[in-house]
Amino acid sequence: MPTILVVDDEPTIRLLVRAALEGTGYRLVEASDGFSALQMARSEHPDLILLDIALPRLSGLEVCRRLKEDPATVATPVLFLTGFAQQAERRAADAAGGQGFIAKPFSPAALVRQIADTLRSRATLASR
Amino acid sequence: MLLRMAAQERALRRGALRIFAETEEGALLRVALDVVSSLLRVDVVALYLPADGSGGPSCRAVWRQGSSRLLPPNETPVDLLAADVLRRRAPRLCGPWSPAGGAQCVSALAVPLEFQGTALGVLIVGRRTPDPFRDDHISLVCAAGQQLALALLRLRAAERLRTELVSMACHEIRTPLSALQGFTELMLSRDVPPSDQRDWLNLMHQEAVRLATLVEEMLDMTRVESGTVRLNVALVQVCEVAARVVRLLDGDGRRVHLVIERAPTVLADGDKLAQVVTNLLRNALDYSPPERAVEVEVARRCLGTEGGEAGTDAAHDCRPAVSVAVRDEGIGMMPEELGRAFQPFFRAGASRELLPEGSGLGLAIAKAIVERHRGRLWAHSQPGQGSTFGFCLPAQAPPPAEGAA
Repeated sequence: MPTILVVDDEPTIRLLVRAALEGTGYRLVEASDGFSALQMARSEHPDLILLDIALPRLSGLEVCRRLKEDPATVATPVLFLTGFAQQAERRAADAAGGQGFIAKPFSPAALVRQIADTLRSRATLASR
Repeated sequence: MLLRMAAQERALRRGALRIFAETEEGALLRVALDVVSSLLRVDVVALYLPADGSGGPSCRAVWRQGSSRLLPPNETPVDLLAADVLRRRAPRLCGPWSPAGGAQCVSALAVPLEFQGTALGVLIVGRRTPDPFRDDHISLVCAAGQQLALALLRLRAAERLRTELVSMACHEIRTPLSALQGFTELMLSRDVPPSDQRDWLNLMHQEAVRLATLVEEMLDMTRVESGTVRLNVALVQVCEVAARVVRLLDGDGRRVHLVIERAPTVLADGDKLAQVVTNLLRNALDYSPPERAVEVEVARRCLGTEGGEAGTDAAHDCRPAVSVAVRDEGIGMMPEELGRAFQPFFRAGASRELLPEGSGLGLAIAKAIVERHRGRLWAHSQPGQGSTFGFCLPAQAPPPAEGAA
């Protein structure tokens, strides 16, 4: 059962993601700030991370950079899920090592699809 | 000669005022061309700016024969004279020179658009007749280039601030919108148990209220900042305003201690002042544990006692003033948080879950109101020890009563 780490400081958004993924069979773990996101990424070994950018203590961009520097987490795909969705922020998210970008407000169905696609392409890569 | 130089200096000062009045880059460049062409006799004035801050400078604005034209970035090739002057950051006189898409000039003068070490581009003036540029021409065009550079820097800084504010506002709006769009979509696409439905509707309602408050407060802030809201000014007893706010926010009168000294009156909009006290007091109540007291002190002070930067004239301003200080024993703020406390949308605290409801605009609104009243808002804070937020307004004695001796 794939594990997904949801990082957002808004409890409402975490609840929404949980509701959107209900019945999909993923295991969900949550973090509400940058540092606990890094800790959870190491302790919970998630298969995918949904990451907000505007996080307390450590920004999502910095969290992503650190994940990509750490051999233990470098392969974990990161999808940014953020309200900062202008061109410059998309570029910054790419540069930080994000695999995808979902702008808030988002469609729960589209979110589920993008998560499934990302996990599938990672599985294909791993099986080669 | 001296007379002519004095006239040129006056023209430059007048021109600088016109340049600084512009709030859009294209319009600013157009006015700059016009100003430079009126400073000395030239046939061509051209401005070269690097596109996106990198790459060689290409022509962005050109004036010839009384008419000016703006060009999009990179429409013309990089000008070699402009590139050289931008690299060496020194004025250069040049023999024949051809402006972008124009007839050749016999002589040209190119100066960097430079202010305090930042070079933004190049200004080139050219003549089709063989009379060369003299030393006083060079210093005049250099001075114009410096003014233009400063105006451009200011305009770009203001632009960045505006973009940042819009970006922050969009972010603040997108989050509650996510809840509204997401939960409605889920409810429309599948059968949701009634208990979940109720929870989600409650959340959506909360987020809709948050959006409405946000819109209201953003309008409030911009209205006060831009000066479009008129202050309803009268002589106001600050202690009365403070007492009224305390009664409203501390219903049972248990948490807030009101310490009032006989303070002079101020000339102010009483409702707006009440809003400032409300915003400060609400923060103090929200950011400290419910069992801890909050103190509101109204006192008579020198205008410079608080909030003036140490060592500046403002700190020694001894005109009588009324100060309001709101002191809490709450979580306090780190120095870097304190520095950003008055920025729109900034919120102190580790995580939003620990945060009280609010838009992050309360202090920005308070600051805008206090500054419209020519007062100062200030803050002290120590992590773990609590914060004090306060403001000072200049005192205004009531006019002497009629018939008084």
